Amino acid sequence: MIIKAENLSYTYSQGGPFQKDALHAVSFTIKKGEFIGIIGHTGSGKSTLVQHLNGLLKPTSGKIYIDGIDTSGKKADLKAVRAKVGLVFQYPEHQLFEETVRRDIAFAPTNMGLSKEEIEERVEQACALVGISKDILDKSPFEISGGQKRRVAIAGVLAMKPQVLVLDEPTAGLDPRGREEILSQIKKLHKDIGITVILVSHGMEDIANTVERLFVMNKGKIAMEGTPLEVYSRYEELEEIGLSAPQVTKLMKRLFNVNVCTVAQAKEYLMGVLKRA
Amino acid sequence: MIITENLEFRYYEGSNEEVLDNINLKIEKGEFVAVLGHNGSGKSTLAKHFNAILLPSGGKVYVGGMDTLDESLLYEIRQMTGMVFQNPDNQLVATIVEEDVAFAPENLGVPSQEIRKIVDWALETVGMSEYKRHAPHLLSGGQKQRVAIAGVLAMKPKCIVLDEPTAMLDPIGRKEVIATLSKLNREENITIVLITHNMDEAVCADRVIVMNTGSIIMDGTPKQVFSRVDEIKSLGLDVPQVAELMHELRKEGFDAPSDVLTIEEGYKAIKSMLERNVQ
Repeated sequence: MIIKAENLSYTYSQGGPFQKDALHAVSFTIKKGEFIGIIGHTGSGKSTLVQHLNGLLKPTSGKIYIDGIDTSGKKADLKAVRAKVGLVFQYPEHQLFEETVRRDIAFAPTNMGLSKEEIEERVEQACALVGISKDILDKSPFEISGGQKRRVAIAGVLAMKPQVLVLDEPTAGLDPRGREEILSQIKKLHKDIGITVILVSHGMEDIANTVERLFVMNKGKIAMEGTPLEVYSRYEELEEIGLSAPQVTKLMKRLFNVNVCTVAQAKEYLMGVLKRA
Repeated sequence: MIITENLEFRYYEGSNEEVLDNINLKIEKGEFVAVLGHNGSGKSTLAKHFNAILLPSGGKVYVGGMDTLDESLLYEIRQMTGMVFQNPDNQLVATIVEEDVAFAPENLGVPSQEIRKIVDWALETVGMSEYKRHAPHLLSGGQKQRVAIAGVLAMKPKCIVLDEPTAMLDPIGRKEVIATLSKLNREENITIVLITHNMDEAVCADRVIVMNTGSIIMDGTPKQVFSRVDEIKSLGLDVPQVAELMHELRKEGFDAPSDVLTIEEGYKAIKSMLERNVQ
């Protein structure tokens, strides 16, 4: 159990004129090595939840444990929590600031006080993990392409060797090919080093092809939970809360009342039906 | 409405890199055109020629018959073609929604009573009237983009060019913006040029243009363009899932139609395939 939330609630500006409840008694567990997706429309509480995962926010009530550490505990070692959970924000490339790509990726390991050799090694490993070539290491982060920048930003988080990688909308603003590249890179990362991955996304198709288990957030609660197939089969409910299931899910449900969430699954089913007929 | 003749563009004189290469394009008044292409294909560069933010390095661009190279026509061109960009936070300048929408007509010297009418109409048209006294930074992304569209509408343009206006929005925000554009096109007969990566949005257009390495490589109805699934995919773009499914079935030797884009059309197509199987 790497992450465990018990009746986690969070209220912004509690007691103030702009008081707003963002999370209501949310409970869940995430096992080590899982690949989790979180979906929900704007304002559903997903970003608030994500910020609890490495102690940027602390529960107003309830608890969250990160690898056994209660983040709201008086003596909680938040530095340790943040080393365990690496958070990649939306448009992470906006946070690149160093003179060279190498120094940017090395920023966190340097601050962790690691030896020069260790830092060097981590930078190289992180680059390999996100698929960026060593040629760009000595370039300025401002002279590489948008897709590369995003990878560099993710590498910067991986260089901390976190046990959990949280990505908030990692494909926002990319074209279909860039999206596919980033997602397959993340899938590979999950497979290769067994890291726990939590992916927050609006891209319903992206999620269907990627994650093992899915949380759907609505009004500060987890409204649905299950495999993409289980969740997407309840597409009427998804639409009610402002999300939409992939085209093929709706098509196959209407035609045969079967559940699919990818084009490949729909194709497989149809080939069976059409051949039998 | 917009005509380009042998349009070429390079970012600096003497550069070998042709960002736009011999583009010949005619967009009629009242059309709803979607422009697709991967990042770096030249689509945003092209769009910026439609209201003279960028000027041709070679060839010509005419907006409503006006040559964009003629500096004296700049204000008229910009009034005729408004632009909306990707990030809603970069386009709203005032602290109150209605003041933001009034920004352009104020600068155009429109009398204040007239401004009142224009602003109310613009906000009504994008469905944001009830937020007119709100602060823009407290709105959702989709609402902000609709305010940005209202700001452009207040100039009474004949054409609106939108550069990935939904890229940063959630599914609800996307729907709001696309519904607003369809309405402006249908009811106000405003020409819409929509740059997007989202294939479901492109399906809403009358015409789809696909760009690659600075050239237009496909131009047709959504059905014509999205039936070329392999070509589109090789360009790093997507097709609607239903079109992809039909394509996959065709590859397996099934007689699946190639002009199917929506769930409704897919439903009918597969039903008729099932019936044929029975015979």
